[in-house]
Amino acid sequence: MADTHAAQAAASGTTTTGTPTSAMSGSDTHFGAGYAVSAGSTAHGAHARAHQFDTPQQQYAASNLGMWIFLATEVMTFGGFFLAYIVYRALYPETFALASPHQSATWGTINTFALILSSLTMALAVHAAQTGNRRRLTMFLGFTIALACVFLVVKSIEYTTHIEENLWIGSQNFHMERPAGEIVDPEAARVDLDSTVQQGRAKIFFFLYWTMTGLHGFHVLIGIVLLSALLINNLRKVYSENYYTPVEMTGLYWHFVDLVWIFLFPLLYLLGGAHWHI
Amino acid sequence: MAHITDPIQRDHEEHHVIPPRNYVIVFGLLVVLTILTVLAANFQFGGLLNEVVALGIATMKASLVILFFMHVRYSTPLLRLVVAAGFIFFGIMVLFTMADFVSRDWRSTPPRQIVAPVEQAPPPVTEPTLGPQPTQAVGQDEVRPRGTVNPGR
Repeated sequence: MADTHAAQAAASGTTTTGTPTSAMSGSDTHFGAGYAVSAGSTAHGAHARAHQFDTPQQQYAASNLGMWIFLATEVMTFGGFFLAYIVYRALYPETFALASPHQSATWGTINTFALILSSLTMALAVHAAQTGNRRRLTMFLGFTIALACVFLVVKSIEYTTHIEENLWIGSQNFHMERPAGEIVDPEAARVDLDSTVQQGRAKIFFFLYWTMTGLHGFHVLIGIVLLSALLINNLRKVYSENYYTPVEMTGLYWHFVDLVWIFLFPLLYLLGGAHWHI
Repeated sequence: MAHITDPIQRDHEEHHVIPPRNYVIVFGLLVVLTILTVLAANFQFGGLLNEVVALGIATMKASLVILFFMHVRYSTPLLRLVVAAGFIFFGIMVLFTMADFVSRDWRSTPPRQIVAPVEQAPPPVTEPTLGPQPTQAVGQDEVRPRGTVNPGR
């Protein structure tokens, strides 16, 4: 009962000392029980709970809430770029329809599968941590890291191709050719792509492409570092079924990276038609 | 999907152990939706329908990831509020920006000026006079075009 009270208080953002005085006797009981739990659970290891928390549940609630607030700021970070994409797509739909076919749907689809599969292995890694299965945790963390590396390798192949095709925005020779293959958008088929104005609009698309995939790729890179740290800690037997909050929080981060890609893939690769080339 | 549903304990934040089978089902749905969005890309639905379909499928995939992989389906009302707030504020940002955007009617304005607009002719330079200068507006020095003579000096 006391634990429930503490978790509720933590979850609702109030402190137990802020409860009305009529609950004072209950509050005393709560603190007594809190200390009793604190003393009783030290056997589970020093990592189990920081001293400012009454119960592991309360600590987990705080970590989870903090992580989600961080992810909300991440939504806004990427959100600015998504908003810029929406505005410029609304302004220059025909140029954007000619720009997306320069992204290979082949590589994009491979990377989408790599990331959703890595989300599955991450979820299974968290499950392994919850059930205290260290061998499975090591295995699934390894799979997740491997898939993240696959993603980055594919992305660098794509980047290399784009640089060779003069699509790097910092290049003096930036020039977007008319894409090979069928143009599905009839408006776009009529555009004079070689004009300065059209090349400027194409550059806006590629500014968004490089920045959004670059920022996302940077997040993948950070994810690899975090997952590797989890893997090393797990090999040192840091985590058990009583303490695995870092695994769960890194899991949230990793799923968020997947989430961003779920939106980037159709916006940058597919609108304007899926073009299968390598 | 009744087998995924757990009684949601509203007053107790706990780690919810979800059977791996459910994760595999969610993964299967994500794969199906990915194939759908790729197949839909080569159809011309007309109007903004291509964008609507692509973003609709992406939103479905994102909801699956958030609810099941990220365990929001099993979390407390407070956490759901924080999650929802993050996306709602993004929605507000997009909504207000686009409300401004569509009400400006950019595309029916005459073709964009590629050449910079002709600069206004600089104000005529007055010969310096010996008498007291008429008081000039504060800050005029800053906006005086380059190359003109300051009559006061």
